Amino acid sequence: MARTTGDTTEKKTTRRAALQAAAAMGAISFAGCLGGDDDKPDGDVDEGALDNMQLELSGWAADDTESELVQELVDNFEDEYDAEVDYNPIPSEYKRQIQTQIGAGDVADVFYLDASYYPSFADEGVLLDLEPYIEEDDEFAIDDFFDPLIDAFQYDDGLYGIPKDFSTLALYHNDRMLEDAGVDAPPETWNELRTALESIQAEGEVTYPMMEYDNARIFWAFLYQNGGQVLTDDGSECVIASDENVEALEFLIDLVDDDLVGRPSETGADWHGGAIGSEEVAMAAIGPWALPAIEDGHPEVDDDIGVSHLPAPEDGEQATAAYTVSYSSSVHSENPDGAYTLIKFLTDDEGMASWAEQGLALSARESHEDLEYYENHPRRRTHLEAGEWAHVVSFGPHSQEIMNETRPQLEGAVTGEREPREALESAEETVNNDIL
Amino acid sequence: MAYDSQSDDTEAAVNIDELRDGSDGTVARLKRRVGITEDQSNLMGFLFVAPNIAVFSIFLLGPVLYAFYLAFMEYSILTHESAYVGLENFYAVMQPYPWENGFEALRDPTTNTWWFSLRNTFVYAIGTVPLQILGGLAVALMLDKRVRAKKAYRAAYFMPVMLSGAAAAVIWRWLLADTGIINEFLRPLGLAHNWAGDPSTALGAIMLMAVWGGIGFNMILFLAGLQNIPQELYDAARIDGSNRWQRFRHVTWANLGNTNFFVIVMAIIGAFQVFGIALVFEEGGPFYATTTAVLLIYQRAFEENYFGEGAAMAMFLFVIIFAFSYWQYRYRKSEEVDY
Amino acid sequence: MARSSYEYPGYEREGPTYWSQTVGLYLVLTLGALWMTAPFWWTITSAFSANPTATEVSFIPAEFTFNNFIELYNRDNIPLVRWFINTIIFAGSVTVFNLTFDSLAGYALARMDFWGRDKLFLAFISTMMIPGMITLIPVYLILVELGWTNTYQGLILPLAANPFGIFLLRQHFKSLPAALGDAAKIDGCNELQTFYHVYLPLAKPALAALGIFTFMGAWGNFEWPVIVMRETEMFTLPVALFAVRNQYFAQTGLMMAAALIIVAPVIIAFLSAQKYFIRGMSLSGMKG
Repeated sequence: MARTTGDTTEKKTTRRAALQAAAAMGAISFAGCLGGDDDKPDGDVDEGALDNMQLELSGWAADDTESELVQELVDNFEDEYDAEVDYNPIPSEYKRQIQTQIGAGDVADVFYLDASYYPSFADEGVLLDLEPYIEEDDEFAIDDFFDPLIDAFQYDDGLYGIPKDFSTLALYHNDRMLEDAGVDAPPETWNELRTALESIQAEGEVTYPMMEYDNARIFWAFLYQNGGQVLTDDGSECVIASDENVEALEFLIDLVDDDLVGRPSETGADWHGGAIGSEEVAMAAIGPWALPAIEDGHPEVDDDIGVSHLPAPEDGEQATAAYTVSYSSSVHSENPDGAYTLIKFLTDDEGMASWAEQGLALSARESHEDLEYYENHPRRRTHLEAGEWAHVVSFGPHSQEIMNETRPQLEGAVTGEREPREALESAEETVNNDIL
Repeated sequence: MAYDSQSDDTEAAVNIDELRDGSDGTVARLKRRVGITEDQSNLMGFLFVAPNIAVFSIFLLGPVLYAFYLAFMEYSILTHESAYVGLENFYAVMQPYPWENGFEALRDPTTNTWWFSLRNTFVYAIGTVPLQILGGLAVALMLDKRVRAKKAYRAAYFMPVMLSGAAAAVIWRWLLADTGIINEFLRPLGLAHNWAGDPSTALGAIMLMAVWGGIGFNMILFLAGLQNIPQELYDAARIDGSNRWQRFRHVTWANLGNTNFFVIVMAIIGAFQVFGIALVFEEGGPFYATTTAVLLIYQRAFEENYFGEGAAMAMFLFVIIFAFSYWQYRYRKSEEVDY
Repeated sequence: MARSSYEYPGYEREGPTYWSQTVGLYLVLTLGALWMTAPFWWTITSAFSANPTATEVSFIPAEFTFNNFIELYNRDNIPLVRWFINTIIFAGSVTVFNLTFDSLAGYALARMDFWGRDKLFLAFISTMMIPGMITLIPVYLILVELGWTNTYQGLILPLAANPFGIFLLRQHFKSLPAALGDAAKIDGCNELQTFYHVYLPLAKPALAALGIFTFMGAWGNFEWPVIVMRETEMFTLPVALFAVRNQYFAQTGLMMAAALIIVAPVIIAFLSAQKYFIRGMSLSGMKG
């Protein structure tokens, strides 16, 4: 749908500045002040602020497993700093809730932000700039982080989030089912993938050999594998309807049309991890967050599940989609020094390693590739290896709007309402005309 | 209700006209006797209605004006700031105009989701309102005969009405699931289908649920209306030699006039505002198949945080619904005898 | 009950026409009633079955168990009791506020004399014309400014008064004899006492109808709490059902047990107080 979200950053800033001036003079809002104007933290952590710290941590937790793991880390922090941390994961509609909380000035001191919508928060100036802290801190080793991950959270010369981890998509397969269907090895190319799925379908143990969401999540990996791009290098134009991309989408849609790939409403499972775990499907492209759920929730299936790199097209390259999430703080935090300390605890060498070793997501630090943990957990190592050729699913300051435009088009293609080429071309047109 | 204004028992009889204009009437005299002044009387009156006035001003009338104001603003949930954008929200919502591209928006939700959602809403209204009303009328007529276990039947038909929209949507979502029990029955007949997950049938599924939940409501209203029709009219009609259809048309239907109108307009206004069941059933999907107008407003405003656009859409819809409401209001007023 | 419109003196109660019509009538009524109640039956069955899949064809549980309810109660991320309490608080408060405010206003508009009374009544009635959806966004934003999102007061107060309730009670009070009030005033009662001691008790039927109507409506109300309540702890039952339904998509038994918990109080109340329910409904459409 056509939408004129209109302004460039400059116009918005000017208008915002004017409004702020007016607000300062005249009180537009009748809610009363939001706790006064904090002086911007200078990066020096005040030791006094660390005494008897009371902080609040928020985020999401896909299920009980995840929230328990986070609670463990939080407990460690509480012990080390003799502090009190209130961990309140938000179970649903995370983005909406965190937005309201920030708007009200009453939000946790530290919270998650997904890279895909992080820019819109940074743009409105409600996040705490962590750059001063990083500069003053010699121990933190910010360079150790994978570059694309840090880039995702920079904005206008400031750093408003520290990556807490990242994930890549990899192919999960139920090896027992593959064997039963006569598939010797996990597929490595697109053709092999199709053949494998057809064999599994013929075997008849499952109705749908593979599962994918209506929003075609795997498309974002296929796209890069086939050599395509979403935006031009300078980010000024959207090229999502290029021939390579159309080909990639068509590959997926053909699988859906042949019932080789089922949608959640067809398989009866609402996420890939659940589908694999309950053996509703034989294969799925999913991230490392599924592993704890499978290991703990479906131990009987766990042994059969193998993880390999996503199959690439014969004439394409290895690529996958990556997701990353930051720990961020807001300008409304009452204890910014404390917030930074908590963030640091969770993401420094030790903290990041202990989080990574919980096995939910991958360490964002390059040096951790050599960790013993990854030696012992080959499936996760596969995910980590893919980091080399992974592309973060985030497209600059207008990332959210671009996703909002393309997602329904992809849904249309998956549900059979639109042809892949049509879908991508409409998306490209709208993005170029209205957003960029 | 009628008082004998000519009675000379001045303490019991009340003159309506005098009571109305508050001048030298019995109550006025009484009040003077007890020592209540007119000002105190006014004050008491206002105090009694004050809570209602407060609630309505703050949470009903004020918001309508605020919505009007918001439609011209861009509001940020993160900073609580509003910026004036003039008619931009309206343009964004309504463009491209359907007549510009052959009404493509009615087939393809991604062209312009607002027009598509209006289409969904109209289809929903047209599909559910007549069925709900006729179904309710039919059941009421049937139950109006001497039927055994009438109370049981009435209860059975009314049960779906009391169900929370969310619970009903969840139950039906499971019943209609691809692996659900209804499909289990239909599979041997070859009619099994992914009712909820297929864009072309999802709206129908919701409509089915709505009719299921709406028949009982109208049934009750019609039953009450039917009871008010005096038996003599039917007897007279029969004596005149009318057949059943004529009796229905000229006695039953004619005397249900007030009920009819109320039922129809209520149903239409309700259908235009449907949102909860669509949200719980499939969140407006798949691919916008069940996105009704109010659902879209909810998504734009509360999920995507385009409050200004949401307000613009709401104003648009408000005008449509208000027209119906006003029509209903005028009709009721003309029917009111004792005001 | 009076003879139905169908029968008249001399109406034949025998013969093939009569029987075929009667059988047809009962058939249609029963099929319809089955359609209305079958989903409830299935819900109850599933709620008490152990691990039913959605394809359970039998309408009688293969394995009867309370397990689903127990699991719902025990799960950490499902604060069932809290949700139940939230819903009671919400529905109860809305009902109490409505009954109080609307009866006060209804009485004043019917029995008291003050400047602008009739115009005010007109104004109240006219507000019924305003479609509910227009207030969703602005009232929400007002709550945001007040800091009342995710709070009980934010949830309850916007629904504290209802023009329909005012209308209902005003009509009812008007139908009561004025003599009672006059007698009370002569005895020295002021308005409030007259209202409370004399008229209010007489309005019991209307109050009961309105009360049940309001309570049941608020109990099942989904559209408003889903906007106002943000924290899981503060959800009402319908919103909670919505929030968790995807997580447990494959566990029909759990979900149906949850739906049953929402549904059961309403059904029980309805079956025991059918009379008031129906009366409230009938009053809603009729004049006077």
